[in-house]
Amino acid sequence: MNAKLSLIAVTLFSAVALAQNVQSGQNAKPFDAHDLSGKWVRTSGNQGFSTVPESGRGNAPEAPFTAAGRKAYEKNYPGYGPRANATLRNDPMGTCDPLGIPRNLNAEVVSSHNWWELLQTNDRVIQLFEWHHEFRVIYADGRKLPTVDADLDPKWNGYSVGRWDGDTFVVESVGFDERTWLDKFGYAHSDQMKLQERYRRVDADTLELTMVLTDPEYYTKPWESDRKVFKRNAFQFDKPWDEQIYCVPSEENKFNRLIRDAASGK
Amino acid sequence: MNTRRLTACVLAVGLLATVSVRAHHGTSITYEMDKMITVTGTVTEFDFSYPHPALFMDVKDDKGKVMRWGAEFLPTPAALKALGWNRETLKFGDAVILGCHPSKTGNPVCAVQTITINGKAMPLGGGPGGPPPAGGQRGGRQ
Repeated sequence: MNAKLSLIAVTLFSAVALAQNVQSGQNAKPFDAHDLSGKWVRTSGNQGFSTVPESGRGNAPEAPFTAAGRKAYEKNYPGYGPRANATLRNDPMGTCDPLGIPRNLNAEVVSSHNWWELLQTNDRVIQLFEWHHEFRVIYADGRKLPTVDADLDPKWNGYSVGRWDGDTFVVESVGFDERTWLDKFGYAHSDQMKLQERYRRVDADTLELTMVLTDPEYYTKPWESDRKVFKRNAFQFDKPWDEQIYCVPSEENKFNRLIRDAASGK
Repeated sequence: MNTRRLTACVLAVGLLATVSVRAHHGTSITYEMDKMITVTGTVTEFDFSYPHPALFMDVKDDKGKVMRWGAEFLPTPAALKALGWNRETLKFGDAVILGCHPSKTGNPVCAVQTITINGKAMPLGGGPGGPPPAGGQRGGRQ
């Protein structure tokens, strides 16, 4: 009798546990909301950090610039969008310089160019970025963020800690190198930028990300990104993971010298 | 090896053409995307690298002078592979005819829209950049 009760209890528990992780819909695949691992490709359309005018998204508002923020933005000459400048373009990407966070997450991770991958351990979340074959560590062991002062050397991807807030993984970061752009449109940030990222897995194949940037030196108020949507393994070709998609400085230099700079008169 | 180079026959004919133009990270400010020229040449080098492969060729002008031309492909290697390409699709000495968007500067550089290799047309997808990606937009080289 006890064995029968145990079997019933286990069966019920399993059914409840599975149901908790299954989204509504007849064909929904089960998933663990606290497992963000996978290779993710952005499928939402906006290529900017937020829906700024350059993004071509309707009547999108301009970034809440301070005077210093606008000045920094105007010194950046993108190769894309309405401010694109063929001869002055100085996008760090054009020389294979690191893209940093948040740019690694928003602009370049689309098929057929790039993806990023997330790995989880008990105390860390690691993001792998194909474009530079670089990785970012998000500590999830309860440690606090470092104090931003002269003793803290800025990092391309900043210093990051993460925690679960329900089914949302919240990442807080500081200590960014101000040489990176926020996106391909040339929006800038200072080394005082603080970034919050909120990741939520909404079904087995979909991950959503929203970000809030706080940088009083360059922006008058916290600036929120649009909702970025990533799909698991959504690279569009047959053998996507065999590709070596890698920004190689010598290849990029040759391309710039013989093709793009020659074509643009830079 | 230079003696093996086929001399190129060059034709740079300016042809106005209506093409599907989409802003493609810097291409629209670099090339005349509403114009097409025909460039006939002989391959000297092919870089099948990300994000956009590059082709270099010897091209002879109407006075018989050989010039070095460069051309970039807008699809990535992954996109081209899906269309049957690989790193050896273009080899040293191959005769190519390009339908190409010319540089705005007039320099001998262009962005490839159509290509014929040794008399055989090879697909490049439905427009600049090749097959549309899942997200409808692209990242990549600026």
